[in-house]
Amino acid sequence: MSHRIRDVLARRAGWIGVLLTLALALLVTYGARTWRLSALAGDLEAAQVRAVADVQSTIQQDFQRRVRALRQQAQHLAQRPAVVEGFQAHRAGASPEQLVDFAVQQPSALRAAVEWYGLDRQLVAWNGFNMPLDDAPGIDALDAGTVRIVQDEGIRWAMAVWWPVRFEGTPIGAVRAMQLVRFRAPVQNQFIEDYSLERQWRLETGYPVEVTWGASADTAHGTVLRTGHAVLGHVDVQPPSEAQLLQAERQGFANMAAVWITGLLIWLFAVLWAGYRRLGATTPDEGVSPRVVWGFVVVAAAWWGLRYLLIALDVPGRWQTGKAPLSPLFDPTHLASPIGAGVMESTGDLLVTGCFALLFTVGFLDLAARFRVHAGSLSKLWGQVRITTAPKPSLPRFLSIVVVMGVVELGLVYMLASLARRAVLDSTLDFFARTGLLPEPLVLAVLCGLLLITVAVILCGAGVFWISLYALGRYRPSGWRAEQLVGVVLLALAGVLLAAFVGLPQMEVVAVPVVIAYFAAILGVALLGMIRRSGVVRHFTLRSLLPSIIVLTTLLYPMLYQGMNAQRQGRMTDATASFVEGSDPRVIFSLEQVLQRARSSPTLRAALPSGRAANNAPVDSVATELLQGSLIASLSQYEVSLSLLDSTGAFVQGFTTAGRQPSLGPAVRESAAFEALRTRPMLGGPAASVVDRIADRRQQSQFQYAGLAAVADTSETRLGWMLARAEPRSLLPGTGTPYPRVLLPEGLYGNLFADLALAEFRDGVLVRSLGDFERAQLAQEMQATLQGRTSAWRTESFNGRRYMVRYQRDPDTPGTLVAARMPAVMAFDHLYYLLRLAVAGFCIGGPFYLIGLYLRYRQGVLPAPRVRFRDKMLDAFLVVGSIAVIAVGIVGARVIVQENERAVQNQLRQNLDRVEEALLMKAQRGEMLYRVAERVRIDSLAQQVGLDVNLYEDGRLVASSRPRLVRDRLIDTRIPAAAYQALHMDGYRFTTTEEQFGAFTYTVGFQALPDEGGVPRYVLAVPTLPEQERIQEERARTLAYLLGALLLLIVVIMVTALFLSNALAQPIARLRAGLEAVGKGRYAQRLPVDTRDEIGELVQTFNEMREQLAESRRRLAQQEREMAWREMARQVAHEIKNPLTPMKLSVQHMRRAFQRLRVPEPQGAPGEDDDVQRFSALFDRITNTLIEQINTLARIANEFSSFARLPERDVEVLDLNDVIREAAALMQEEAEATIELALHAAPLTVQADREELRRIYINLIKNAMQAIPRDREGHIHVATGLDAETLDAAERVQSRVSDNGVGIPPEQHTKIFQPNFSTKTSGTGLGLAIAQKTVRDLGGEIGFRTEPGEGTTFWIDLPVADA
Amino acid sequence: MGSAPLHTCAQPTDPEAAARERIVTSFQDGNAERLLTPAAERVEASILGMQTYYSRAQALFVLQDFFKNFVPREFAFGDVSRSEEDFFATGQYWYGQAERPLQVYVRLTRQEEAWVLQEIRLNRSER
Repeated sequence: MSHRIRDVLARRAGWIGVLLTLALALLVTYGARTWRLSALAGDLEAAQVRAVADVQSTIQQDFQRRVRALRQQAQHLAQRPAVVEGFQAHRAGASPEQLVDFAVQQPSALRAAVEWYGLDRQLVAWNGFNMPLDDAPGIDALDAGTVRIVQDEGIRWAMAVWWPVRFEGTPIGAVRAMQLVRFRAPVQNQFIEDYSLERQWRLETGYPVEVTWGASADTAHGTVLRTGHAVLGHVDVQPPSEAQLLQAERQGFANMAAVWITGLLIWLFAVLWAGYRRLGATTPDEGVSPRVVWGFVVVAAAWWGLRYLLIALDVPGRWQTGKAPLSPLFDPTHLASPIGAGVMESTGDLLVTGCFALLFTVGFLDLAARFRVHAGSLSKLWGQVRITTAPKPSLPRFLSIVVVMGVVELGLVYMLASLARRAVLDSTLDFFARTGLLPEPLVLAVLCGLLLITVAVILCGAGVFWISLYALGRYRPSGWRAEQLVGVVLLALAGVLLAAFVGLPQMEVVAVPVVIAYFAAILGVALLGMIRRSGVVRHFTLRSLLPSIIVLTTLLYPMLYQGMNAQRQGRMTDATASFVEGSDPRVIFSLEQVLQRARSSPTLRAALPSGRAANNAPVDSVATELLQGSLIASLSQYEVSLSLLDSTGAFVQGFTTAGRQPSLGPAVRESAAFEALRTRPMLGGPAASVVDRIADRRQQSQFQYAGLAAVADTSETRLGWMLARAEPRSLLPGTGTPYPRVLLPEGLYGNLFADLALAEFRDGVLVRSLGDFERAQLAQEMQATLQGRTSAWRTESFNGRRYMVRYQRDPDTPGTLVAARMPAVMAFDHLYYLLRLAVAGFCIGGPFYLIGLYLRYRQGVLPAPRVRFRDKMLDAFLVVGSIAVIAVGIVGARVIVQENERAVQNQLRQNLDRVEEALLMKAQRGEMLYRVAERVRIDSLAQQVGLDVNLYEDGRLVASSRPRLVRDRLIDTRIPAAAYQALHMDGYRFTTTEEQFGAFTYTVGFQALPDEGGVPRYVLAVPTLPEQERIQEERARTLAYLLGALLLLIVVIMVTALFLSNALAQPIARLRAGLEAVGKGRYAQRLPVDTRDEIGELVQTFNEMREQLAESRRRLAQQEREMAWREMARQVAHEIKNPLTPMKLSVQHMRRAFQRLRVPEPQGAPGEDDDVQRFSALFDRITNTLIEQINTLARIANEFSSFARLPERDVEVLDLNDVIREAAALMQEEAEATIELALHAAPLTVQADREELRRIYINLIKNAMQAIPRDREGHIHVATGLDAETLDAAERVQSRVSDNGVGIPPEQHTKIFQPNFSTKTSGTGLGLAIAQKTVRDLGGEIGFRTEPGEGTTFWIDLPVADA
Repeated sequence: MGSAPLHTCAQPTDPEAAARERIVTSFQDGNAERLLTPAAERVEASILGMQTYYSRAQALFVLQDFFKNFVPREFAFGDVSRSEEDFFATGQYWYGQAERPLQVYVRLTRQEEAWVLQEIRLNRSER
């Protein structure tokens, strides 16, 4: 046993080592925690002090670092030669052009500004926002690096560092470098938000930190922020309570313990997995082993158990809090859903769940592969399905398996659809945003997570299909054909779908076509897995991943869009509900509170009626704080104000959340509110209050909320009134004042504003609208539809655009209908969102591709020993297509942006011209425009031209049609440096600059109004602020359409690439097959020529080559046959000839011997002499016959020898005519036919062996003679001549031997020249074979023409020899 | 600033009282689930200036996260007001060791005899 234990320990040393390490680490952590907590508990006070000291130290360090950086910047800018020269020139009386140029060139930093001042503290140049001057000493007494905190009306605070500019030690100017330390935004949304160093320090330290800027009284827990002797602020750090300290320590140790526990859990799972792998390794690859199945069940449960344990431990979110880099991924304000018991508690959790799902799928597929049916092709697979017989046929079980498979697959799809839907509905992320090609990082993370789960669902579905198919094969009912079974399966699945969609309302999260598409995808992947045996890694290539990504995104998008559409509809529903509400109850409640508190404030009461406190208490701060602390101030979409009125109702003083209201003329709106409310019955007597919504008498769409409270003294004498008002900033519920989206609060309607239009109809007539609803009357049909319903959704078209409209009846007001309208999502929008989803797919596909590269390299298939031509073509097309798409995308986007900018600039120019025209209309005769601008009211000018207008004088903002924005410091009180440079320094009349509200960028156009000397006296400025959303929306939409079109282009390129590569590769593949066939000796296959290009020519050439090869092969075969015959002939001749001579000699000897034994003249009886005579005659005849036959045999043997022997030619130049004459002469004696000669007049010289050549013609003449039937008068014609076509070259000599014989039957044509072929009973059949061989050896050709029954002509062509 | 806090200790005898009790105990215990039971489909939440609409499910996680970061110490009811369809409540919420409380505003709307949480705002007190 100890041996075994030692063995196990040795083999598993690594595992045990890891386990021990983790366990030890955990124990140490817990031990340290216990020790630390007990140590802390005994020394909590000191720990509190230490904690506070640490935080303060951190803050001090950060603060000092910022001060140092700012000082360095100020010093650097003050000591630049250009600055020194600029100041010198300015001192000498020159314009500050050099300094302004330098200032403009400085890079703009966020929340930073730089100013250059002259000796008299007059601003000379600047770059960035404007802040009031602080109390720093004069320039000549300024110490380098003097730091101050500057406050701007309680809205902005900045740290400012002064650095004198010196020339030869003498100060000539100064630089003030500033950085914002606090900004109170008037509204919180995606563009604008509060900023403070305080909040950053809170995040960084995790402690409640409060900073008071400026020199003020120290606090008990404060630390001073100072530089040198200057106090810049105080930091209060609330010391943590004992519980907090202990909790913080516990938390720290818990986070560390979570690391070890996570490690242990992973270790445990790894052990289970290793065991499962060993189990799988010991069982055959194919076939079902219950142990393996149960092993997987255990592993799967452990895997998902691990996931949920990690959720319970809040891993990894617990390590990503505060300023951790990935903390936004785990921030529930972006995405948080309880679905799946926590698998999507945050964006990060969704990603982790996606990874878990994918890895689970890998394991599941590994198991399912054991059940997989293999076949080389679909047809073979179908063949297997048809012939498979089940060991346990059972229809009920068969159907059950189908139903279970359907339920499981449907369940997977439903789960994914639910996740996708909740990922949108339970998040604040904007999936509809058109912010460019790349989605926001968090949106991208969500999409990646969902795509991972989509991959897992499809692959799991394929695995389920494999297992189900295996099980179906086991229980397949007997007697059913495969087609019938497929029909049953489809019906059963349809039944499952029907039951689910009809019976379960939850199935509304996914549409039936989407489910069917998923089923089809699952089936496709499953079939692919069954017919391809190549490993998974070989699918991680560009060719496989790209189309897979497109398919995945196409499958996921409908699910995602359902959620997006539901979110959009929800927001429209909220918009209509809010628009329906005539009164915002929150505002009324809040105004009641404000009035109640104001009335009970002694300071404010004492300020009536004069507006000043009797005890000099700051009324402003009391009133301001009261308003700032009210609920209504936090509502953001309302402007709240508190006014003090005297007993007659005259306006005394007003306050807003920013402080005392500047006097801007008559308090029109206050007076209107007072007049409207004072007549209302006030409950409870003169000391009560009334709050109500008041509509403008002239414009019903404009309204305000107002509350009026009477203030009386103890003797019930009225002191005055307090009027609290709330004016809607936003368009809803309906003021009609254009207000840009950038200034709307987050989340409410801000994201929809650019597209949303709201309208209220009474009895079908429009009475109130927000945005451009483009309908003055409601359609009758719509009114009728809503008679019996509370709300309805419709899609409407107008001017070629489709809109989604929600109609809602106001139940409290009969005849009132409210509608909200937004542009419907168009086809290109869908493409755009698909492309963004595809980008997420590429983010996932990229790592898979790299993993595939690595694994293929490890497997030795990279670089691939062989790459199919089709694949190379496909890769090339895809690369070229992708480059083209990217190039088009980049160029197109740039063009769109540039054209958009140009259009904006043109629009601004036109707007400014309009303003000037308006001024011109107000100008008196000969009056310069600048003088008109001096006297005209800017708000009336703005109203006249319908634009926002600002007016600058010498760089300072002197008037604005949006004073509220100026007050909130969203519009700076100083002209941008670049505009100042262009107009004042460079002499331009018009310029534009890019300005920002937080993260929102817009364009401002500036136009100078010069005086008589041509010097710009005033500058008009027109921002694109109200139109900027429309401009950005149009640009975003155009870009979106471009990107959508590019996605379409990518798909088209891929499909085209597939077709083209197949089309190009197919002929080459056929060519290859043809070459293979030729290599195997199959010459009959001729390839079709389908194309008219080089490939077609290649195929044509191949066909010709094939024919030539076939001919050569045939000739080779013939030659081989001839060689065989010759060899055989030689052997036969040799064998025959050998015995012939002795045979002949023997017979001759016998004859001689008989002759010697011949009996003399007969004397005896007549009968005996006759017998002897007869025997003698017979003997003579027989021996003669024997000798003749022996001679014949010898001749035959000689013929064979002639055919067999290599010709020993005696080649000479001879006259063919002579040879023919000789042959004809020899044959004339035997011929029964007439041999006519028609020979060429001139000698026809050829090179040949005379005897050989003569034998040829003898043979031909003999054949001709033998071909003539006996009953015909035979004519044999022999002619010679030169080849007529080459008379001038005279290269060929032609000879013909013609007869009028029976001709050669067609079936013998191919055999004429074969050895041993003869139509005669005698003869060797070698004559023509020898003739052909001889003629070819001489470089000639022999052939024949024949007409059966008419005759035959044999022709011989020989090359002419030089004489 | 602000009226004297009202601490409700009586057993709830009607829906409105139950709503008040629910608000108080939820903030005192840092129980987001109780506070959001029931809640509207979309809850408007403004937490320390960041205002947005959350789904009911997401609002639960957001508030749980809030209570984790701002551990409750004490809650004091402020003003209560109601109209036919709306119920408003304000209060002050002390957390951790903070000196100044957060200003709390809660709005509930009536849906079929139940007060459903519609809006919640948690703002810092101004100095």
